[in-house]
Amino acid sequence: MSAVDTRLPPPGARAAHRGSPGPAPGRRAWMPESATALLLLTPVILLFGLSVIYPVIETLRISFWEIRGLGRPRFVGFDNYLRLFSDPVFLGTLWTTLIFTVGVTIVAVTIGWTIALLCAFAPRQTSIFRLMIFATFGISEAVAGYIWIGIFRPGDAGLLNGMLSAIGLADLAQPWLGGANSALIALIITAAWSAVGLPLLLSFASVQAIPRSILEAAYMDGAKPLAMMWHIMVPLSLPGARVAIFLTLLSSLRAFDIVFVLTAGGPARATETVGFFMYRESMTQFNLGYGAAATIILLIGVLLVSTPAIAQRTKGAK
Amino acid sequence: MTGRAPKWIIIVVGFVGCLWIVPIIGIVATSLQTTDSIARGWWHFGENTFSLQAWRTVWQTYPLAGSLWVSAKITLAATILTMVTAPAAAYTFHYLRFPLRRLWLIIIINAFVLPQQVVIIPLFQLWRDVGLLDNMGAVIIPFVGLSYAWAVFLVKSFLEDFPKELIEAARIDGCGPIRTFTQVVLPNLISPIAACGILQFLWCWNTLLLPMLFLRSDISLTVLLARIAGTYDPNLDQQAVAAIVTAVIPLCIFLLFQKQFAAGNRVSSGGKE
Amino acid sequence: MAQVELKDVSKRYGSVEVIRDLNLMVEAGSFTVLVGPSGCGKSTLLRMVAGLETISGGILEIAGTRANDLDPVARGVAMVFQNYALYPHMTVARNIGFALKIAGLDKAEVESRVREAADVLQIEHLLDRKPANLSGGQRQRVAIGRAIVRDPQVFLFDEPLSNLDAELRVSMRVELARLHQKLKATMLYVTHDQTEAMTLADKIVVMRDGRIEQTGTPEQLYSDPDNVFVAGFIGSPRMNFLSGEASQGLVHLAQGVTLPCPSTLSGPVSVGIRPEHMTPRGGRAHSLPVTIDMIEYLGGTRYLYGRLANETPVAIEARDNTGIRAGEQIDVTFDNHSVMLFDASGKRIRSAAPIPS
Repeated sequence: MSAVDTRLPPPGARAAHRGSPGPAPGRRAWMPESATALLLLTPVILLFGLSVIYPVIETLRISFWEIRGLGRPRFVGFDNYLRLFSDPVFLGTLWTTLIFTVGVTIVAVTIGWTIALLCAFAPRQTSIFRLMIFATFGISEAVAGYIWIGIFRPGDAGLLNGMLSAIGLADLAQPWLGGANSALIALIITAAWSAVGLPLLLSFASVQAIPRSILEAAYMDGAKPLAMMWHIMVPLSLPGARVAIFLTLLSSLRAFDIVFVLTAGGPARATETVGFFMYRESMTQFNLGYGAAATIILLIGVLLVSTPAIAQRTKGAK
Repeated sequence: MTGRAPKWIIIVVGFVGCLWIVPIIGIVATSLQTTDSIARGWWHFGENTFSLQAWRTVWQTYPLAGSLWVSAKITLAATILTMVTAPAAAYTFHYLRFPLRRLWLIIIINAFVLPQQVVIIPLFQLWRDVGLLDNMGAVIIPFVGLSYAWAVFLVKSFLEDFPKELIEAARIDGCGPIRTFTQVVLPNLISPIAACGILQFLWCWNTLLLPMLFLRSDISLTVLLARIAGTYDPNLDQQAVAAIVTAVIPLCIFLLFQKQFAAGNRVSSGGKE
Repeated sequence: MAQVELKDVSKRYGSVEVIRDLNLMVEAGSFTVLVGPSGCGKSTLLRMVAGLETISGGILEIAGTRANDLDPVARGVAMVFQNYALYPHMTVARNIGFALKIAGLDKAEVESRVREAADVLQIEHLLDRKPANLSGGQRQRVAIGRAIVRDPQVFLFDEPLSNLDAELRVSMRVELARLHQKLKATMLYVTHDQTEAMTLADKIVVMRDGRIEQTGTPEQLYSDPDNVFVAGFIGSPRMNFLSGEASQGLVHLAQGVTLPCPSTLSGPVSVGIRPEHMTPRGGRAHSLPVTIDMIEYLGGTRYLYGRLANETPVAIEARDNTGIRAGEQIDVTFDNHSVMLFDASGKRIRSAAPIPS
């Protein structure tokens, strides 16, 4: 064996070898790689194109047209957008969407994350309770809406009012879904109840991923559970919680089912979110252009919230 | 963890856990009580009378079995299609080289942020024009198309940890790209594919917006639930029955496979920080 | 500085008993090393002293007070973990000062004590770094700093050097010994590496299967082991064990070689001879034919590895160049006085009087 043979290959050689897993030289190329790729991707490109790419472009196009029911479409430029921003109902909708989204995210992530942190101290003893909370993940928003209608019923038949009376807060009892503010609160509570599973799951996974010895070291350093949570577990489970915050923001921003079922946007459109507004305009009033413009605004909001995630995924797309 | 877990932690978590299922207990109790009892409040178990009346009424009045069947067909079709095509796409994006590969990939994996609302106006018009309204395909197509956004990403993230040596070994053994996929990669993708399947099943079964808009006569369970609630009778007991019937299958699937979520989640949030 | 005493301590996981009625006294100020093969319960024992594992039975006393149910701070113990367990989101200074902060000390006090600890370990220049930007040896120092800043009564080390490379391990070993001299604190140290145990310990505790096999100074364990296990575990290369048969005051080895032994002994025995007590090319009585397989040259000494006719492996230490090559068959003699006898159960047979040669 000569000295040359034992030398390491130059750094570039390995990279080049890894670079293209294309057909190995000498192998019978029975089909060009691009053709194989096309074959495997055809269903995906067709279905994705039909139900994502086409609709996005088409919604954008329609938003510049006035289309009422089956009448003749008329090109109106930015008219729909200008109308939206002078429409007090739509402006109210934006505000409602903001409060709803932020409210649901704060409530759901706070509860989910806190429970996840607590559960880490006794994973086995708390597993059944964790499952009880997590179970809402399997229940649809629509069903959640029906479940909570019963709780927010006016008078003593509603559980919430009944409970408030029982603890001496009968003054707070009210027809929850009847008042503008209380209906929004009810909507946030219901959505948070339904949404808490994901923050719980993600934060719990993140807490569990903290090396055991770090927690033991903190315990040896005298950290009691609350100090341990605050100084060690919160900072170290932040990655999971950050994903949870983002996903909860995203799904609340797009909410429709739960609004439709629990309040249908009422009373007097006080709980209408943008996602519901576009449905009402386009599917019940058949103002397709107007509804499409509202959808584009929703889309812009979603993209703004998602910018960091999109940047990260785009960078990671190799 | 370390030492003995303090009791208060278990008590707090237990309290929240119990609080969380109160609404579920409520809906079950409501479905089993007479209208008078419900008006009093379902939690007065002592005074209330139980009855299966609501269950009988819903069963006789509404096409519950039909809707269950519709939901099952739509959900299974959409789930299976996703489970079959998304892994192939993830494999293709990860291992094969072809024109515009990165552009396609970026578009698909970032589409997960899109709200469903974006698709409804164009698809409503399109389905109306081609006569697909009230056809299950009108729902299944967007269910599958929208799922790629997260399903391809989930499987591809899993492939990032897949040993390159295996792929190279398969190549040296003379496998083409498709054989490599079916013989080498696919058998090792069971856990992300299962995660995709469960998530897709839950989403398709539970969602309301698309089936409500695109189905008219053969409606799915969530839509039926919306209709029962839409009749303005004081029929909380019947709504409760419909809600339970709608929730029970996804809940069972969820409870059965909840361990899988840990695996799927680890993959999907793999790119954290 | 405090003594640690374990009285009839046991540890059960469900129905599995991993440590059973263990008694151990760790003298104040001593450097005591728990050593044994993996799974022997040494780490569990350490973690029970630390307060990371509950004690299923028996009493743990630290500085004369029962500590079973105290938390680690109240026990006055600090621990250095195998993988360092530094808080990744904190700087070195905050890592070291964390325990003091939790204890409610004011900022200036924390800072001065952190500086003091950093000074002892010569890591002042690292105080603002995060653990991710430290080398293995630096992390190890920070982990030790986190322990000494608390000024504990007892230091606990859980295989602290096993994640370091060989060279660093040797130098850290020296530093740990120096640290012990300087702090004069009680140190309880767990390792599976007998060399580490021999070099660091005042007292070694050899464990196996949840029991203590023998306790003593390194010299005692080496020269006067109680049983086959300790004899084989301590010392490198390990002691040679030849099987023999005792009858009427003589042990008959397979090769027709005999050894004197107490006349009461009979039945199968194991004869233990350390490599340095074997001499190649004896040519006199008691010589054993050994086929040499391999020679390990270490500069000052060399070890010859070979086997007897019955395939028993044998290691021989040779001081000078014997000219022996692998594959050769040689005769080996040994010193009767250095031979140790063990009975069939592995227990050492100590003769009351020295054996005449």
